Amino acid sequence: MSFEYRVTGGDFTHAGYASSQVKKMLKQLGVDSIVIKRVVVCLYEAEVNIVAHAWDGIINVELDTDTIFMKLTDNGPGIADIEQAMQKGFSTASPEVREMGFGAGMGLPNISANADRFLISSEPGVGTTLQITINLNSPAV
Amino acid sequence: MKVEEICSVLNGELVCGSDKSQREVTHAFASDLMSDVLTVTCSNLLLITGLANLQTIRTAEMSDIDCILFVRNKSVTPEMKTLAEELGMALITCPSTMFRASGELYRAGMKPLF
Amino acid sequence: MEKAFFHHALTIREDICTGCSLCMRVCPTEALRIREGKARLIEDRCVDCGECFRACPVHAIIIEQDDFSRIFDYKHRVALVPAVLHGQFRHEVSMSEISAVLKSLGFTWVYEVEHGAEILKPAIDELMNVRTLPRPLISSYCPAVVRLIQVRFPALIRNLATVKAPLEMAAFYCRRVLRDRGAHNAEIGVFYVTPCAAKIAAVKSPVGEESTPISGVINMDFIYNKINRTLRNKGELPHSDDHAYSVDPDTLVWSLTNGEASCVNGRTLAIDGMSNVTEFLEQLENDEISGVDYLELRACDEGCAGGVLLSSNRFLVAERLRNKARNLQPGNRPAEDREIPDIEAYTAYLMNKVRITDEIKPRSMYRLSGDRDEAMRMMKRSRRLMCWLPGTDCGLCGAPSCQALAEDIVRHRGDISQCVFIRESNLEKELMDPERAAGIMRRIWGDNNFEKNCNKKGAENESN
Repeated sequence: MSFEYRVTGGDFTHAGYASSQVKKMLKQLGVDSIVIKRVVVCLYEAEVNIVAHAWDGIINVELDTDTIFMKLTDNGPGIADIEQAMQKGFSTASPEVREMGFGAGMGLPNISANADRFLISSEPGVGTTLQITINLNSPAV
Repeated sequence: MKVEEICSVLNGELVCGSDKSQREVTHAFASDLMSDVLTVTCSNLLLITGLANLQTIRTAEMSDIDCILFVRNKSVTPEMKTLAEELGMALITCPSTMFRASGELYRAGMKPLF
Repeated sequence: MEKAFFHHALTIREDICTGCSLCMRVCPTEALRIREGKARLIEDRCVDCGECFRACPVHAIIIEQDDFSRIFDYKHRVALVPAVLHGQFRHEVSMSEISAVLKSLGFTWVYEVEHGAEILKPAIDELMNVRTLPRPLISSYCPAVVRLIQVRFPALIRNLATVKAPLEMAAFYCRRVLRDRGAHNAEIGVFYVTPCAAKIAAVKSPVGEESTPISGVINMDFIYNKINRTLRNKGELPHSDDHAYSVDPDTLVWSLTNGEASCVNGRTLAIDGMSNVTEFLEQLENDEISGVDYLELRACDEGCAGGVLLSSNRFLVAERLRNKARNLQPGNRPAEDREIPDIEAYTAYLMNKVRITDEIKPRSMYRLSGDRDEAMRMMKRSRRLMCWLPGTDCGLCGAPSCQALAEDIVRHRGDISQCVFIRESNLEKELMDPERAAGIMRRIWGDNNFEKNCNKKGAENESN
C-alpha cells in the first residue's frame, strides 16, 4: 500500500499528521509497539525537518507486511555538509524553531539510530531527500 | 476451486482477466439482487449472477468480490471489461442458467456462502 | 466473539435503552454500536470511563454495586471514604457527622482513603529516582486512564508508574491494624465508597495486580442520599466546628486535578477529561512532547470531583475540598481512632506492598488480526471500503464513524448496506427495493423509532 502526505514549510500546527496516520495503520497490523515507536520517531523528526527548514515537501510511505519504506522529498535550502548535519547537536534551526522545542540538532542522528536503513541526499539550493526503511518484524535497533 | 476449473465445469469463458485463471475461490453466492450482494462479507467469493451491467461490477467492488460468473451467455460490455480490469477482477461467462450453473459448481465442490 | 478482557461495572439495561445513540457518539474507544434499537457494548474496548453513563438521557446505563447487606458478612466492617464524598456537603457538615451516619448504617470503622496517599509520595519519589525508567512517568491512579493506555496507546504502558492507588494502601493498612488487634483476615470486610465505575472495575479485576484487599464497593450516590436523608431528618443541621481531618492538607486534595502532580518532584503536568487525556497521549506517543517528568491523568473533568457517581456540581466539590484543605487543623484525629497507630507507623509494611508487580499487558483495540498477512488484507479492504463510505460519520449505520463501520465490516461484524448513503444510491439506481432498505434500517434502529410516540423526550406529552 502506498500513501502520500504533503507537508508545508513553516506550518508547525499541522506537523505530525503523517506520523499519526502511519501509527494507526501499524497498530492495526499488530506491529510491536517498540517498532512502531521507531517508525514514528523517524517519520516525525523527518517531517518536522521539512516544516522547520524547507518550503514544502512530500512524504511517500510504502507499507507492506514486513517493511515500511518512507521517502521524504523537500524543496528547500538543502544541506551543504551532510556529515556535519549528521553529528549530534549540530543545528541550523532558527531561534523561533528552537523556542517551539525543535532544532536541538538531534533530528538526523535520531532518524539514523532508529532506522534499519537510512539514505540521505541533498543538493544545496534545491532540496533534500531522506529514505528510511524499517523492518516491521524485529524490535532490536 | 480455481477460476479455470470453473470455466471447464461450466463450459465457460474467461472474458476478462486472462491472467487470473489460477485465482482461488472457496465460496459462491448466486443472486440478481445487488442489495443482497451488498450484505456479503466473505473474501475469495464467486458471484453468480444474470445481471450484467456496470452496477454489477461496482457492487462487487464494494463487497470485495473479485470474481464474477455471468450466466445465460449475458454479454459483457467493453465498459464493464475496462472497469473490471482496472479493479483486477476476473469475469466469466457461461451458457448455463443460474440454477444449473449453481448446481454444477456445488457438485464440483464449491461451498455455499450461507 | 473475543473473550472479554476486563470486568465491566457499566451495564446497559435493554429494557430502558431507547437506542438514541448518544452514548455511541461520546465513547472515546468506539466501544458502542446500535443494533435492533439498543446500544451494544464491545466489551474488550470499554475502559469504564463512564462517558456513556453521563451522556445517556434515560439512565439506561447503570453501574453495578455490591449488595449493601454484604457488609454484614463480616465482623469488622470498614468503610473507605474518599474526600470527594465530604466535598459534596455544605461546609457545616463535618467529617465526624458523615462518619456517624456511616456507622449508623452498620460500618464499624470509617477511614479516609487519602491517608493512603501518604505512602504513595515516597513510593513515587523512589520511582522518579530510577534513571532507567522512561519519562514522563504516567500516574496509574485513574483506572480508566490505565485501561485507555492498554487499548489505545500500548507503547506507553512502560511509562506507567507501577505503584498502587491510595485506596489499596488504605485498605492494606486497615486490614493490618485490625489483624494486629486480633481480628482474622476473613472477619474483615473493607468496602470502598466509589466515585466512579472505573474504580469498581479496577477493584473487581485489577490490571496487573494479583489480589485485592478490598472486599466490595458501594456506589457513592447511594451513600450520599443516605447521609443527606439522615442529616435532614435531624431537622436543622447541627453546627459543628470540627473541620478536622487527620489527613495532610496536600494529600486531602490528591484526587482533584493537580492534587497528585503537585506532590511529585520535577516538571509535572496534570490533565483531566477523557478527550484532553487522549489528545495528550496521542502527541506523547508520537514523541512530540519532551521534558515532562511526571504526568497526572484523570478521565474526569476536575479529577474525582467529576466522578460519575457524584451528585453535586464538580466545581463546587473541588472548591469546598480545597477550602477544607486550607483550613485544616492537622493532627486532630477522631477520638475513637486515637489509640490506633496511624498509617505512617506502617510505612515499612506498606512500602513492601505498594509496587504493582504483575505485568500490565497491551490490549490493542486497533489490531485487526493476530496474523500479520490477514491483518494486512483486512486493512486494505477497510481502506477500499472507505473509498465508498461518505466520511460524514453520521452514525446512521449504527457505528460511530465511517472508519468504524469499515473496520466492523472487515471484522465480519457488519456489512456495507448498513450505510444509508450506499442504500440511497442503490435505491436511486433501482438496485435495491425500498422495503429491503427499510428492513435494514429497522435491523439497526429497531421498530420503535418508526412509530409515533408522544411520550418521548421533547414530545407533546413527554413522560418517562
